Amino acid sequence: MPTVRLPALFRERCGGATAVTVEGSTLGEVLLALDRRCPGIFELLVEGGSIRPELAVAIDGETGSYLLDEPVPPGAEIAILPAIAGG
Amino acid sequence: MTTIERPRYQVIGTRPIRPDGVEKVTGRALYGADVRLPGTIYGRVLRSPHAHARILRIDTSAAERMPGVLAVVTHRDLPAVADGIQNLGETAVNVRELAANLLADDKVLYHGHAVAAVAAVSPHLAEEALGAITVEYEVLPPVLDVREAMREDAPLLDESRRTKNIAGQVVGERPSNIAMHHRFEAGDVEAAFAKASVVIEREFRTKMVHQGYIEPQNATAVWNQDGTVTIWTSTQGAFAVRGQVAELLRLPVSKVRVVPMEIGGGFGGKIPVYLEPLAALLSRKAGGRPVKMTMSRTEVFQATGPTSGTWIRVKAGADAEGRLLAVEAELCYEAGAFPGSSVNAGAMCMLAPYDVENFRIDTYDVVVNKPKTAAYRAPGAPAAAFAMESVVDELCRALKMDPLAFRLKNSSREGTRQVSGVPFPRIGHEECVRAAMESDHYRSPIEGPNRGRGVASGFWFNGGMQSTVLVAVNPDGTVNLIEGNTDIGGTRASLAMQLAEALGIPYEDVKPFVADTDSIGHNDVTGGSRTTFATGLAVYEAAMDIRRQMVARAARILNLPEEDLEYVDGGVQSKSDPSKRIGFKEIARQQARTGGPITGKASLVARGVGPAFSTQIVDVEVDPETGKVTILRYTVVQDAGRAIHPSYVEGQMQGGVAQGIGWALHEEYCYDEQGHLLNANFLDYRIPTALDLPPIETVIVEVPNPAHPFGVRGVGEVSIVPPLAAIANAIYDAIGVRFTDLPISPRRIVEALYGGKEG
Amino acid sequence: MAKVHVRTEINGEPVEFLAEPRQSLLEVLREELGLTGTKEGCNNGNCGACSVIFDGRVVNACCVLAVEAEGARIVTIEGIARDGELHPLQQAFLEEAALQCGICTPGIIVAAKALLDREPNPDELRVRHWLAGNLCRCTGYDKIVRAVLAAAERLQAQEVPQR
Repeated sequence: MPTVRLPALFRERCGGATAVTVEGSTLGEVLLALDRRCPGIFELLVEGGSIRPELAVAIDGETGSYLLDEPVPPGAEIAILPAIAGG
Repeated sequence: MTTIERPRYQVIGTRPIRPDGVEKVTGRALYGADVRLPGTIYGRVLRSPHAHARILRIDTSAAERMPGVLAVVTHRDLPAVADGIQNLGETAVNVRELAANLLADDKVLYHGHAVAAVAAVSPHLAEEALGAITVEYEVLPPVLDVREAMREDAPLLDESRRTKNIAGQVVGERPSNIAMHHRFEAGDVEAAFAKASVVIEREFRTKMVHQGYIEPQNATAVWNQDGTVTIWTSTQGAFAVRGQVAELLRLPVSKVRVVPMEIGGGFGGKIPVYLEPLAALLSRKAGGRPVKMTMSRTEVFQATGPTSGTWIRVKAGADAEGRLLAVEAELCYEAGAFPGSSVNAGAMCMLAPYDVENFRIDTYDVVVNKPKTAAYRAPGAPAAAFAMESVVDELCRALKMDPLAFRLKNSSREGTRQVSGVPFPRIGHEECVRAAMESDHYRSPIEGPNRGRGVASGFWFNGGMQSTVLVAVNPDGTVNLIEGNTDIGGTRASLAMQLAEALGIPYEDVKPFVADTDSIGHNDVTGGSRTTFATGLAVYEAAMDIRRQMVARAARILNLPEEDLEYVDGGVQSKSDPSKRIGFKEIARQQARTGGPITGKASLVARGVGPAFSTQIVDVEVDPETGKVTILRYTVVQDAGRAIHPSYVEGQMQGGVAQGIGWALHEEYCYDEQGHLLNANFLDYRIPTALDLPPIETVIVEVPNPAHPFGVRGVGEVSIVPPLAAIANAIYDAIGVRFTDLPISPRRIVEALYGGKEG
Repeated sequence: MAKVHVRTEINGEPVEFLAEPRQSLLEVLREELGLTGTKEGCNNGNCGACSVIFDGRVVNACCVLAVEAEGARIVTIEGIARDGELHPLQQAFLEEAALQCGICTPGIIVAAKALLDREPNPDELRVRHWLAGNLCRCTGYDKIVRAVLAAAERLQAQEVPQR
């Protein structure tokens, strides 16, 4: 099952956990499953069906702008981080 | 040096002349300000003389009546823009704030904030017309410093602003200049500090500094009678300009065509739009006349993106064996007049050279009455690295440990978790530190009074994002490489070289061309050190497309089954009988008879970005009489993954170092108490001259990026990250004074040595 | 404002133009004569992007009034390559990769030519001192200095009289 690593300020929604392992084979399924464990977190991360533009998601180390139907391999590690810009 | 044996390349690693070179050394290359269209009129911008004021009234009627004045625009002329977000590559920009920065709405928020724009038949007349515009202001107290702006009783730039988290959720109840707070945290920081035998805690300050590109912003726009807009401009991203202009003017992107001209430097500062929408609006009001706008140098300093001034606190602890155990930090960055500093990037870079399990980093994005910041080469990283690498230097001194040995012992490597929780792919920090230790520079002694040596490491993510390229094979066997990334520093060469290598043809046979936004698929900016990597990936894919077609054509010419053929060294040959072979040029010559034009293409979102590290060594001499710091020797070591064109890789390394030296020693925005920028010119804002710098020695380390066919990592940004701390560490070594505020100007040095204000 | 008739010589050719007294030589070169190789970086004499050779001396064209060009001999970047051949400085800049964005390049090549015209064999410090008025933000100057020294060497070699 995929594991989601949570940013520090979102952890209080998940009882202080730094990472939560949940079911799901797409990014959207994983985040919905996460929301059942940590109520309200889906809405925090997703706006209008997409990951908020201020945020980036890394799946197994690959940071990108993913759709919610992005396949997530079993055992994948997902991190949520601020989007950044280069010069 | 090469850490892994290099495959045998024909083109990669050589140093050919860049395709756009002759035009650029003869003055024929056309930059944005060189555009000359029939019937052109000239636009100028009226700017606020105040740092913070309410606009009570704008009267443009006298200016509009002047003969030869054809158009005047103010914020009221901007199509109403909803509070939407548009994704500019990786930069999220709030369009409402972009509009308010373009032309002030009800308030001006910094000295130089645009208030109105005028177009007239000559630039001088446009300038005179600005003087005929009356603006009544109610002047408000400004807040100029990040720590002042964070106080609860600070003047507010926007009374409706509340502090938000990174997801845009309001977390503060009171109005605040703190636009965003975030935290990166892992492990048990307090327990780790309790085990430390050395703990150092310091506060650091850096000033706003500017990218300092030599070419001011420019734009020429025509609002055509069919409702389309054409814009010629010098930009890092034609598609980013198209997107911003379309949002601001409420046009579909297809109505906006952006023609990227040559660009005279950007460093991140030529991604936001400042003039393009104004020129378009003025053209519409002037009946479709072309409107040309160029900024003066003063306007560039006052109103285009500098990078943040910062306040940073770092506390770090190590055990007696020199293991870095814990780091706690607060990063407060000035965003300028609107939110969006690179503070989170700074936090994600400062610990990247290290494998440290316990950390807590709090970040604050803070608005102040200074220009809206823009990206500047590894945005956010240099100030954070200045703080961290200075503290590491103090740890090493307390531990009596060689600073490079400390970095090697604690180095991050493949699999080390970054502060974001994301594990590193294959990276080359250890290799950089080792190469620095083995360098002639580090092995040479530094002797003499008031002389010292400093080292520091730095990290930058590098970017991937979207790229498109088209390749057309000419009947004479040359190929056209059509791409959408403007060439700031040699990317035509680095892309053409990758295409030549992938096709097995001579570099001289590739003709790169930078297309406008109507002529090619989307390309993200030339920025984030992405172009040679990401557009290079697209070039490689397009080459594979060409090779497949070449095999099919060869099958017809040689009358052999495709399965028996393979593409080898710039030709196609039989697997079973390699003597049956046909060269690239011959297939190209026969393309009309074998199926028509051969063209390849590739569009992609580049995955597998290879992060960059740099380790640097500097020797300085401080003149205790004048406070002048002379750079005696400088060595920059950097992991390029694979250096496609080593000369231009070295150029990026040297250029970043030069900017870092300026940042460390003399560049700063100077404001008076009312918030007037006092040094908005190149005389008083001193960027390094040829006389200020020594030869900058380069050591290219190559730890290939496994996700790129040639191993490319980005090389454009990371070299600016270490110099600030490396120089501060060297000055400490020379005179025993620890400077925690930048720039370390002669005045500060003399005051530190002889009393007066503290260093 | 009444325009003044100016007769001058640019890149070896006679040129006449009308200029307002307030117009700089830079503005006239670029906007009236179409010689846009001379660049504007600051318009107040601090960056050197508009360097031209004016009666044998390097000047910032932004700090010269166009009317002062009366009777002068001016060389701009467009006049450095002659007879279809690049000047050795231009060739050296290409070979040494001494440019990145290229906006300062015309001014630096013009200024360096003025140096080599009067001092064919400068050392590195002299080159750095001479070019201290020409700002470059991309390169850190290292490759620029090398290119000027390489061009000086090449010019010296060319000037050996043939027997």
